[in-house]
Amino acid sequence: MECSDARHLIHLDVGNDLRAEEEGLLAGHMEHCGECRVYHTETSRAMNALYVLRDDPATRPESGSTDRSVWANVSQKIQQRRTSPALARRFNVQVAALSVCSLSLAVVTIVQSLSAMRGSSEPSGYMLSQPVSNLSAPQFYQTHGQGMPNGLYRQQQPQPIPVKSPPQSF
Amino acid sequence: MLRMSESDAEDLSLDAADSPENGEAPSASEVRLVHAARNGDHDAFGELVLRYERRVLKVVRRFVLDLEQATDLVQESFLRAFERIEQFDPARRFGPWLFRLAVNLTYDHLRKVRRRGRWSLFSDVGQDRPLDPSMADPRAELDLSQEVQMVLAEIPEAYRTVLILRDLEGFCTSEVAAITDRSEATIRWRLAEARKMFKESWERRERRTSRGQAGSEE
Repeated sequence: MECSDARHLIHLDVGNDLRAEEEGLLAGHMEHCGECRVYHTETSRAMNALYVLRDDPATRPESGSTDRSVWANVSQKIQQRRTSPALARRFNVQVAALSVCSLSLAVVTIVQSLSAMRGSSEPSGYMLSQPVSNLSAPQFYQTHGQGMPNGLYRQQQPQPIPVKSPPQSF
Repeated sequence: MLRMSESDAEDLSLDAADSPENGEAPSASEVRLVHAARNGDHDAFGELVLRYERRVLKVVRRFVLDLEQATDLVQESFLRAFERIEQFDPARRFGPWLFRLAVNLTYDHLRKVRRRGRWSLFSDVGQDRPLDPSMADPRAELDLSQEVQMVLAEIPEAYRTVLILRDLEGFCTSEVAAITDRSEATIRWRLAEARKMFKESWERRERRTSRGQAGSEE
């Protein structure tokens, strides 16, 4: 038997919880294992400390308890519960209606946001058939009597195309 | 091996006479009482309450020191037992079933207190025990028992319950198994583990104490 198994049995032995066959096994192991004998003594000592709670009259749970039986109170409560009308279950329409409303609101919101997302990602047929204007941005602002916003103007400025010099002929 | 003290043996024999949960099979009178209570006999249930109330209170007070709270929990346990007595299997013993209700209710109560304590600004402080002048100075014993209580509180709930029921309340492992609704093999395993945890915690505490004493002497 391994010491770990023996120690498991020692924990049971200190409270007299070993079976007859286990007692034999443990006794056989302890005969030749000094460490487990020491462990047994230490465990017994710790258990003695625990038994202080069991043995000490000051800490006994019944100390301070009165002789009055709880039956009087229990009986009274049983009678109260018997005489009080039983709670009937009823369907709460308001809660159900509120739930349905919030659920439909949620569904409508989701459907709307989905369609809005779809509209922003692909152009609609109307937008394709009706061009907003044939004018370019600088022309549009000129015809409407406004100066073109600086940022936009800068974006619209044609960038000079670098002209490559022709290759030198040798 | 450890043996029970004479007073404990006497107490257990008294308990055994008062309440039949220490026996392996339910007594005929208990079967009759349970049967009558299941059929709505109020007085029969009262007889069961009288038989078990002291022992249930004793077990509950292992977990809840306050007498008033413990008494309330005992009352609640009996009320619940009365309400659920139809669910009780009469082929089994009434005691373990009742103790299971009481222990479960007690743990529910403790969890509620713990949850409340976590969020409240103030928490309750335990009252000092009144001293009896006719007795010898119990302070040394109280210190020791308080230390043991603190070490016991460090052990996880599932293991502490088994340790309390077996080592402090004297239920045998099959009864603990019935109360906690676990197999006897599980209870034996938990018992061994709980004793190991207690031993380790107790020795750690002793080492800390001796180190503290050595420090103060220096």
